[in-house]
Amino acid sequence: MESSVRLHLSSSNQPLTLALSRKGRGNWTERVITFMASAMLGISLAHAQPSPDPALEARVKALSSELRCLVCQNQTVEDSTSPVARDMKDQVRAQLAAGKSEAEVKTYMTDRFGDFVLYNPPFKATTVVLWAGPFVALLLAGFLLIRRLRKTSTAPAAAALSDADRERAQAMLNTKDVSN
Amino acid sequence: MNKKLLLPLAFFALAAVLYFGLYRDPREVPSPLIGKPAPAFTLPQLGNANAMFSPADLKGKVWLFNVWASWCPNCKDEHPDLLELKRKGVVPIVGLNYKDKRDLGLDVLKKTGDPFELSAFDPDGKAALDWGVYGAPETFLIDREGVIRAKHVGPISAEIFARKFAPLLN
Repeated sequence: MESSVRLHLSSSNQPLTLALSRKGRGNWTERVITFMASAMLGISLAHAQPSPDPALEARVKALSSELRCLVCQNQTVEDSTSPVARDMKDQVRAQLAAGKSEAEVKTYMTDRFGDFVLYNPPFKATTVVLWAGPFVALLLAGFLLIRRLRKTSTAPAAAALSDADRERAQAMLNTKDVSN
Repeated sequence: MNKKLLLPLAFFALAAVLYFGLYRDPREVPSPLIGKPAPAFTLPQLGNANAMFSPADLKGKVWLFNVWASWCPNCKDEHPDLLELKRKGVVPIVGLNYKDKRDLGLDVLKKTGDPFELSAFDPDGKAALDWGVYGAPETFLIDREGVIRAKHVGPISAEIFARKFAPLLN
């Protein structure tokens, strides 16, 4: 299986290189693009895994996308190219192939690496702040906002006019009427 | 409480939390294995492929388990400290030669000295993964009952040993 992947990739690589070099040999941009394209294909080649069972491989891929690579912590085990991530992926494959469920493999990982190994942290006592924090902050902010808005909207009504002020205002309004 | 004080106070509290957060090492993942029985394995020894080692062999002893490799630069940093522990006879140290080649591992020990009672040879890192190892060096302290009591990620120094491991030796 691996050799067929290899063949496929190298054959698709070849026309691209040829096409580009035919166009212009001295063009730097094209050279760089060619180099990068072959480099990228090389990387994908290096990580083409033998997959005797596509269904299993899909499960391995799905599960290792939920696991954190502990060396390069902002990558999943699926995305990472680090040796430890490869080992973890192999472990996932071996355990799933041995008939273990996704939950059992996750438990194996968290038993050894802690919840940190899960990209999606579970909801429990120690993570309540993490999950509920933003909503609590939102509710608090909403509550404070509503309270403030209520206060400002009722404020003018509270400042009642005295009789003297009303007469002055009336007088001003009357004057304005006349002058217009 | 004074209402005007509340907002700056909340601000500084948050700032303090974030400030100290800057000094925490995100690489140091707290190990859930502390307080748990050491994961079992049986591996050939680095120096003798026919002799096996299993953590169960050391039941009844307090020992240090050090994950190392010839390709690991930080392991070279801690090597003199491990040799010093061996020289003083503080605690027996068992090595785990991690994702290494046998001749390269042996070469390091020959050239720079061997602080280990023995080293188990784990070329594919399977046993290490079982121990929650995600790099080298890592050091574990295992008690008489075979329970992991402490773990340190990264090179160990005399200061770190005194702080993290020495109080647990008895």
